[in-house]
Amino acid sequence: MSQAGSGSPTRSRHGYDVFVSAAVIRAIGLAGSLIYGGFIVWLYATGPATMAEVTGGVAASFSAYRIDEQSLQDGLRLFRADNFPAARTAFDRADPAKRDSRVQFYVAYSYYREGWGRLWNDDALFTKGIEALDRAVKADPSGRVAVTDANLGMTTSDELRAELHEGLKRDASDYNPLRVMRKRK
Amino acid sequence: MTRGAVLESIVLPWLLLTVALLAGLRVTPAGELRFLVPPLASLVAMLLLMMVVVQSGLVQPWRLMHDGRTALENLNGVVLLGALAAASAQVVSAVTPEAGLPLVLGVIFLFALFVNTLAAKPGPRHALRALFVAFFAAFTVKFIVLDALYAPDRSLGGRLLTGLLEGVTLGSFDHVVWGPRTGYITFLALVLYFSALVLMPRDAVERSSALTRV
Repeated sequence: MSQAGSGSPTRSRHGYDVFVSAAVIRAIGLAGSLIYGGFIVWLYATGPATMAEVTGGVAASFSAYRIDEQSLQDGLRLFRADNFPAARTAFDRADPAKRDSRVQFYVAYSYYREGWGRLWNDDALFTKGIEALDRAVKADPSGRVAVTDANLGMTTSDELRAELHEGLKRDASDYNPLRVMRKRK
Repeated sequence: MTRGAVLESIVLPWLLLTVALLAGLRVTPAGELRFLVPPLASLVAMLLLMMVVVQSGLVQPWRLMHDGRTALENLNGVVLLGALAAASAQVVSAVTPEAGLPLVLGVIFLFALFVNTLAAKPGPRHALRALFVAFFAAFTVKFIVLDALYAPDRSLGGRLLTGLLEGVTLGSFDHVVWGPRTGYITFLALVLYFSALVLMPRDAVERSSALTRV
């Protein structure tokens, strides 16, 4: 154990300050290891796909995560103009960590509108829509997303999820000729 | 004493936790991160690996935890051994192919080498050499040989060879090709892992068997 004595600070032959006791070092090391270990467990549990998601996740755990409002407005403008790939690019810029429920709801909605077809739907886009909707619901503490937007036919995550699942379902109604009369929401 | 405390409570646990973090990280060709937890086969191989490092004296758990140490010192020992186990499981998983017949062959290869090392009862220095060769041989096979064979832009000869292998093994010879950064990250993790094994606190006298000295 190093000696915590009086007098001016001196250095041991190993170069460590003798006033820093081994117990303090051990306590700091233990706390640091537990925090670091917790961070690694969190990474493996959440599985962020990009460094932006890692930093966003860490920021969100301190309630310090903020979306880029300007990029969100750009995305909404493109979304209303039916330019969905460009809208998603703007949404990704607005919410790089994919942790904002409202932005992820619009991402899911963009997949729905892009994948919707009068005769058939694009299953790949609908599946991506469900994935985005899952992120949106997970990000909202209430487990349900509701937005106020008069341009949308569906304003809650429950409605959108039901519509996406309905679109992916295969049954006799797919062959109903009256399907061409239905409208995109 | 202070130097030992720094090593045991800060340097080694943080080094091994970094290995546990990096060795499970894969980067896809598109640049996305994937954090893979070790499969059950890697956990069993990790137990064998822990037996090797303890039997050879590379790691001496009785030095890290015993009645004569304070509670804080014993806690440091527990954390260090836990970090070593996590890092060991992840490095085994990192150098083993992820799918198909190469996974089975990789696991058998590591199991055989660990059991062989256990049977030989080497001292720390020899055990370290044996593990070094085993891990870097497995790394070479996975990240250099198999990646070259299964690279998307492989040559006609490579395509013929992989086609032949898949045909002979009824399609079970499969390999997951990650982005090139994965190899560098795994290499770094292996270097850190072996650095940690070298730095592990142990008695000065090597417990090498007499047979190796004859």
